[in-house]
Amino acid sequence: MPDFDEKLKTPLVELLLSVADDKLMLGHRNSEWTGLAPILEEDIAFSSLAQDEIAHAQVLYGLASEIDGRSADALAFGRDPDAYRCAQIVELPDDFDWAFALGRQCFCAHFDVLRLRRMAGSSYKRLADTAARLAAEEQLHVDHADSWMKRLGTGGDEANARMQAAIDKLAPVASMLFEPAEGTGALEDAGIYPVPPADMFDTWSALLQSVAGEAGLSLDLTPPRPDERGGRRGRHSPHLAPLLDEMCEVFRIEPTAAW
Amino acid sequence: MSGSSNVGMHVNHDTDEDPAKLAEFQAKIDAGTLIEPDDWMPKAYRMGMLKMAEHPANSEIIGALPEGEWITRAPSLRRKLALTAKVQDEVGHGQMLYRVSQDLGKSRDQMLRDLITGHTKYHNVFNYPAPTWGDIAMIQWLIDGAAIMNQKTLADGAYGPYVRTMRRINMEEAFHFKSGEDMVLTLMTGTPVQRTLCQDAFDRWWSPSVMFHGPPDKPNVEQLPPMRWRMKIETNNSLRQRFVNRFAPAALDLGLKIHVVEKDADGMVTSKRPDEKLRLNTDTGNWEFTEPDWEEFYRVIRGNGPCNKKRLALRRFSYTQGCWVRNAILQGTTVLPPAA
Amino acid sequence: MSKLRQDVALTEGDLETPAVADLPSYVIFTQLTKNGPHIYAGWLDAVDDDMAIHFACEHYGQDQKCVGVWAMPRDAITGTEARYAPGPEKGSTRPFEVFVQARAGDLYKSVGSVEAAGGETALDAAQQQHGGDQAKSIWVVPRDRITSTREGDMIWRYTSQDYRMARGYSAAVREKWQTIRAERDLREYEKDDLSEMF
Repeated sequence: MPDFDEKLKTPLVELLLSVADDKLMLGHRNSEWTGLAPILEEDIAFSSLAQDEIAHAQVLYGLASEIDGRSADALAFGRDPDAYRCAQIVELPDDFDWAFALGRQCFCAHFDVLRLRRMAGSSYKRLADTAARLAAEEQLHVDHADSWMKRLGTGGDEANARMQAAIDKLAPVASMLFEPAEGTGALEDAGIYPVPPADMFDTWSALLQSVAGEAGLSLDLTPPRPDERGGRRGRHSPHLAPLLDEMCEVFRIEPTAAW
Repeated sequence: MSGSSNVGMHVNHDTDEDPAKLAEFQAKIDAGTLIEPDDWMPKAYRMGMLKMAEHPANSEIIGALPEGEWITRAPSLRRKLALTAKVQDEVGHGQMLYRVSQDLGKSRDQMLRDLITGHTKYHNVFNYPAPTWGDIAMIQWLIDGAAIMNQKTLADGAYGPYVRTMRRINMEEAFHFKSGEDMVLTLMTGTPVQRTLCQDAFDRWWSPSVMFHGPPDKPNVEQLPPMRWRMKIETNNSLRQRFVNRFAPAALDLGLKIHVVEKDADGMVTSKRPDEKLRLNTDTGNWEFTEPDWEEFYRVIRGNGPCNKKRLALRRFSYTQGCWVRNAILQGTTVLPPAA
Repeated sequence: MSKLRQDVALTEGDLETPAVADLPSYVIFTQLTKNGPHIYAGWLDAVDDDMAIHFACEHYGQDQKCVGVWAMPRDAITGTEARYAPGPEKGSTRPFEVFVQARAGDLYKSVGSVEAAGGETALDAAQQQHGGDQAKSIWVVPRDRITSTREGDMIWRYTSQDYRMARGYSAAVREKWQTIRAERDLREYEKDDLSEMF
């Protein structure tokens, strides 16, 4: 059991769940493409990345489990929708639109790398070491998404139009990735989730603007309003409950059994 | 998992080939020397190997679909990861097997199109439905188990590119089978609900898995070119017997009951009775069993199985939805001409 | 997506979009140990070198732990087999990587390099320097046509991959069989009537 202040335990679980839940939902959505992607070789590559996300979620639920007490699977499959801490962007169905799936991966992977690198500087060593490893793997996702955004954005009128449409749908929702989890301030003060030297949103939006520019796409990103309440504080899109109904369908048959 | 080794049986072997070259070719095979793509080979062998790679490739691509339906519903993080990886492997196996056929002169695009439009076939076992999580466990235990038995023999074949591919595929099949076995064991040592789920799935998949290796062989199968040329290594009957010998006692040990079942048009069991023929013959060492319903087999192969249309429709959807992506990545490079 | 899978339209008949040629072929080699040879893994189709190396890492690079991956387009190969016959020689001397298939059925392996002005000369040099007379087949590829991962690039993940390896299940499977078989022995001892088993 980690050796720090009682008052930091709940905020730390909130933080861990926010990362793990983002990753689980994203991995869940992206794993659906396995067997159905536009090119066989890309099907394989994209599936690796989906597995990374789910494996990362598993590791982070494991860390949360040590404080919270519920098992990783119970955390992943056993909560009510309003107890999840994912941002709404990962809840959205992609309706089998490759442009949407790639666009979403771009927004989320860039954010995730920045978030994990922040955690890699944590005063809680287990978290720092874990986050450093996950960040190195997440960089592969950034490379993948950036590369595809550019290929599709510069791939002729139809592809550009489809990518632009996807970006236009995602950009307004993407900023809420930055909604802080409950108690983040305390974690920042304690050095468990240290404040980065540059503002994370600025760094993130600059990176995305750069990719969009190279892809021939236009992008408008505004930071979330402080009063805007979203997934980090349990307020989810209408898509989460059906997603969970599907994801937990078999688990719920015997929630305490081994599967 | 890929398909049976019976596809090579359907190639026309009545072509004129130089008898001296043919004899040399046969001698090479008999000596255990592998044939590589630039070596001389009879036209029937070239065509046969092309189909022998195309058919299991099709099977892998279609096989990914029933299991893919359950990725989103896997009941634990480990199972979710494992099932995604398994389906991913199948896509990879399909890609590698298509490569063998591409090398022999057919484009992958054309192979995908022929699959979707029904011009070429895939293993009929994938036309059965997977209505519960228990079916996923059974597919990975019984069907992958049957496939591994077949694929191990194919890795002993004569055609270099195919043998190398099968060896690579078999490395991954071990994971598929072990994780399938783990799932079945978990269910059968689980709650009553889980055990019932498992038994019901077993009732659906036992017969298809016994039929996996194909119908009873022609009496002269070992003299026909596919076996003389080591395209097919072991007879269907032999593979089937080995399968039952391995899996019948294992199923019984698990507490599963082995039934003869009747199914409706949707592939769901309507009635079942214990297989009274099922027993170990202590003289031969072989398990005896009720012969499966080969009429059903032929019906399903002809496209009238429960899921044939659905599987192909989904594949077609994926292909047509992906067109704009394939076109996009070609922009800015040399534009490829349409296929001849 | 599952709804999509369930509700997909049951269209049949010819496809409306035209057939197209396949993407260019690339052959992939993986290096399993630092300073070890690059060993043939398989082929894939990709639109360019950059796409090829990424595909290679996520497919062949994930089959077993490896530290390096090479991708090279098919048209860069000169070889002893008819399909890889050398083209016209051109340009100045440059390094060619040499790959040897010892016997029919074997995997090609990298064995070193030769300096040559073109494919034909490279092949001759390779046959002399790398015991080529004995080999079933040799390939030579200009080094500048090979796309390689760099040392330290992530291919094999840090996160455990046991969930997709047979060894990740062996212990659990053995353990569960042991409980079943132990129970069964007990039951057989207790039961008079075994016919239920069949």
